[in-house]
Amino acid sequence: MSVAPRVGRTLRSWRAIGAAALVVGLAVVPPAIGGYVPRALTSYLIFGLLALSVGLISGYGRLFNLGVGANFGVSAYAVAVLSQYGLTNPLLLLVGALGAGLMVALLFAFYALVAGGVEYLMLTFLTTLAFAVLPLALPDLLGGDNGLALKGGLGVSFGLNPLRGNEFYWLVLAVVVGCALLSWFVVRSQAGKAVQAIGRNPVRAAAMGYSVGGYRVALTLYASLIASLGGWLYVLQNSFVHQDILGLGNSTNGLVYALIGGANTILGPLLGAVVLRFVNDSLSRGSTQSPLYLGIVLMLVVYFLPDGLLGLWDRYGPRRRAAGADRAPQPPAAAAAGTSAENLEAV
Amino acid sequence: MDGQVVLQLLNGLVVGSSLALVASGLALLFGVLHVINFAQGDFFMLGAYAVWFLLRVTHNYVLSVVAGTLLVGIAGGLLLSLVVWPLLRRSQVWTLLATLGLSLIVEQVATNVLGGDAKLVDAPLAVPVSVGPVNYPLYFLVVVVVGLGVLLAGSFALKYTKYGIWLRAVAQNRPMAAALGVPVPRVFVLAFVVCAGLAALAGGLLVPLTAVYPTVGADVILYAFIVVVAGGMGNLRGAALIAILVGEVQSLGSLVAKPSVVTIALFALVIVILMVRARQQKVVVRL
Repeated sequence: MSVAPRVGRTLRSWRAIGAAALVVGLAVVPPAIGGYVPRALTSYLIFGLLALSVGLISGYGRLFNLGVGANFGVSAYAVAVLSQYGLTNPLLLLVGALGAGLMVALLFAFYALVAGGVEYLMLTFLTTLAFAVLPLALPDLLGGDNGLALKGGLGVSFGLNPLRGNEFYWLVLAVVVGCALLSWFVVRSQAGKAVQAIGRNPVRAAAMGYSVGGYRVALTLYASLIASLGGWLYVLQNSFVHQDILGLGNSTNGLVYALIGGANTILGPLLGAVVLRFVNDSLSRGSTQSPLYLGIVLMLVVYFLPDGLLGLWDRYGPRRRAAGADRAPQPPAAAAAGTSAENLEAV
Repeated sequence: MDGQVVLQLLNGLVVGSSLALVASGLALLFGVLHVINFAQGDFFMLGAYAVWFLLRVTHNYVLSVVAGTLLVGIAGGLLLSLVVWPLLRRSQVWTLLATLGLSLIVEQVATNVLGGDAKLVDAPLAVPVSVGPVNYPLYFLVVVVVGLGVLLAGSFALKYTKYGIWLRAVAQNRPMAAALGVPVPRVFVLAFVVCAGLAALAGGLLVPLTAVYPTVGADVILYAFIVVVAGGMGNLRGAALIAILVGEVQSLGSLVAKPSVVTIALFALVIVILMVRARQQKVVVRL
């Protein structure tokens, strides 16, 4: 009898304990350190939602989307615009953000239905560029080149002050943990498995009777929900939106965070966002070299780290060694199955 | 005809013919190697910088454009080969990401080395020529002729020369071409060099109009990708025709609306084109 299932189960429970410890640690430690730390981590976690959205759609679904930043930005803009018209009820603003994000998501869903592979990618790429010029086309509504400030004081963020105290940090942490848990359940559900099967081989999945279009639309809408929540929290924290968050830069950031963490995981994109934004903040303090670092990181990921940081863990961590100890060496194809690198390979 | 309209028609032709150069380079690379080159805008920018720099050394415009194009084409093509080569066996997505990374790096390095300010270049041949009701600078008419001439010569070369035939053979069926003795690696490098060279030529020709700054390529690449997607990825003739169309729409549109509105309208047009094409092709399997 093989001991692998038992090892797997032990590891899984260890993983759950680890995740719980991580959440408790994140809730307690940064506020205890205080000062700049919770504020910075709040912003990192918000971009983690953007990355998680990219990971779900491009990593699990293998719909290679270069425009998730537009979704994030449109939701943020929606909150800022609504606040200009005296709407300060936080729940209504949340609904507005999700509704606006849904519009972009429907566009992406449409692309997923009419185009595949590279054409889908180019369409999402052009979409994010088009959204980035939208504020210039509608300067009265969207503030043009100057950006748009959020109005309505603290009321818009449930009375939580993003600049003082730790309550806003906890709100963001709760949203992020909620999204991560929900996504974890979603990708492990029957529908989530169907989505991954469609990503690996749409023709085979269609032959097995799965509605390829339907699942892709559902995945797009779900991933959009997460990006929209990120955009909503972003504008609450920064009280300001600018056309940059709609453009290619923001979308690329989300993609790189997801890739460096491991696009085919839930924790990876969040981890990637936190690590990379921290590194970027520390390196480029007082300078504007972040595109250079982003470019270098992107190249490094492409050549040396196609599975992301968590891919390294899978390759060299305890699970692989435990699995390898009592089984014959796996053929390379089987060993690589399910990694994000192989995932993107099929696009 | 109204003078303004004629003027914008001519402007559209200038923009369109340069755009056709950039976009046909992209289409060629996609057709032959299935590589999407996000760094194409940076070759445009480098070509413009090369002309600006060489002009200060040589004081000869033609020489600067030719030398700049060759320099950026060869250096850029080799750089692109280095970046893309290790990724050829992997999915297009990775080559795309690598060229995106390359583009970010090149742009930032250009800003660090050359500064973020716009460098101006005076147009040579500043003689006005009367075209219908307007006087138009001769140089920009030359740009149109050169741009279209290069494209025409390129399409002849693609049809009748040895390397042109090899390029098409590799694009059509890589293993078969290799089996029949086509030196595939050499063809690949040629495609990279031509792709970078076309963008550099467009940048060098347009620099008196746009000036040159590190992000000048970003504005061009948006339209170039619209053109490539709308013309059908890898379709050279389609790309060239749609580039002219996009140039005209952009110029004539500026008479009635803001540039940003025109951009968004163009984008909407591309979506419609793709919708129609998707329906024609009945892409059931690709759903």
